Amino acid sequence: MANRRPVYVNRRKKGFSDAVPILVFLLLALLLATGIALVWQHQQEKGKKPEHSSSSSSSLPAVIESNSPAPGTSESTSSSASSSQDASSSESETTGGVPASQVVFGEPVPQSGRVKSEYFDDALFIGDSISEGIELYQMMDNATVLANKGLNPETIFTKKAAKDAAGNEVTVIEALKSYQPKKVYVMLGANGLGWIDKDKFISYYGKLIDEIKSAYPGISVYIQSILPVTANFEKKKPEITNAKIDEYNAAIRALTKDKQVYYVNVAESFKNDAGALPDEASPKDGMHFGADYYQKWFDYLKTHVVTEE
Amino acid sequence: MKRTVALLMAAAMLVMVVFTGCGEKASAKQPATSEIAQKFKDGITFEDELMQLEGDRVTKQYEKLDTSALDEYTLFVSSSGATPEEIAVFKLGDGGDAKALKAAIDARVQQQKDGFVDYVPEEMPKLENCVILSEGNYYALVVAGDASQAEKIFEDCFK
Repeated sequence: MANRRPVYVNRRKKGFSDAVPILVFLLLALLLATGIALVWQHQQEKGKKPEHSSSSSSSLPAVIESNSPAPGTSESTSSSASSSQDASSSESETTGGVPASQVVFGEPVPQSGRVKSEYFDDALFIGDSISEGIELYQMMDNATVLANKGLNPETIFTKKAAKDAAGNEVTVIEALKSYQPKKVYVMLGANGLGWIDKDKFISYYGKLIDEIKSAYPGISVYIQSILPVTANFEKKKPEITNAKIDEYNAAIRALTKDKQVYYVNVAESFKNDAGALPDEASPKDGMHFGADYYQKWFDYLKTHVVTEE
Repeated sequence: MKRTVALLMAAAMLVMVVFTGCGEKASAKQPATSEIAQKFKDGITFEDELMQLEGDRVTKQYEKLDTSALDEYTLFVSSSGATPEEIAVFKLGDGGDAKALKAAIDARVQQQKDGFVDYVPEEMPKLENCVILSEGNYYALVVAGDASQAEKIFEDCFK
């Protein structure tokens, strides 16, 4: 009889306890893989997420606040030019406006000393699309602007182009009581003179001035001349020529004498020798201009100021 | 031995499944809004000179827009105000309200229509034919004389 090699048969019971280490191992592998994937994804998203502009919260100016001008954004060239001019003038001539007693109503406000941008802290600008550019170009962030492309001396009474202190849409006239400016600048007419008869135009404008004076008794009200258009614009829109603009401006000037408010002739700083806006100021549409002409506008305003006595 | 090999293979498969699932999401294209806006600028004719707006100037133009709900945005509008031409690209953040963003864009278009109807009525067709697009959490508005290429340009940004 041969010796048989003992054969060992694995007769251990396969039970749950046998599967546990396998399951634990798989679970650990799963958790590890998920953890690594999440970290990886997070790192990718973190790397890709760019910084976006954060809008500084500016509350609707129900009451005019003294903010310092905001230079250094996209229009830093114009802001720095303005501040450098302020710095140089403070070394030489007297700053400050023409005394009110020396101003003749109906005559353009004469050249005065130069005021600084802070002068416009308590200024309210009322106008059409041209005045909208004051905000668009951040020309004078410390001022308040009530402007809308659809406004003219007639629609300023009807178009809900402003908001009151509660945020309701109202006309500019209705919104006036929500503000407390110390000076108001108005520029209206480019939109409108093409189809509004001159007498009606002046009648509406007169009503507007009455409303402003009633809302703000005793403050300085500056009515600005309508700005010129380019020669090309006149060809495209023969109902709006520089001659017609001059005619309406003459009527506005006479109105300011009647209403005892100031007439500030910004247009004179915009005109070329032919009495038109230079082509390079508005190559596209012939009426709206860029940051450099907004700078020119405000240079004129800063040097044609009346000091109330 | 066989059991060990089988165990390791199962673990490897699990790992692959997890990584594949996450990997697909991580590699879906997320272009910068500035990149999309530039492609619109390059591929569409704008008569007007466009300028970029940021911060307060954006909320003045888009009164109903909640910029805090956005991851990023890029906005170009007419620099002169003479036309309603515009490129606006928004990327909504996680949890941002898509309906509110869409409503803000619609409100902007209506506001422009109200402004231009009397001011420069010949510009109205650009607003009537403006293009509003969306892809995932990206939304765009293009107002131009001929915005017919806008959709293709937008879609190509995500390929």
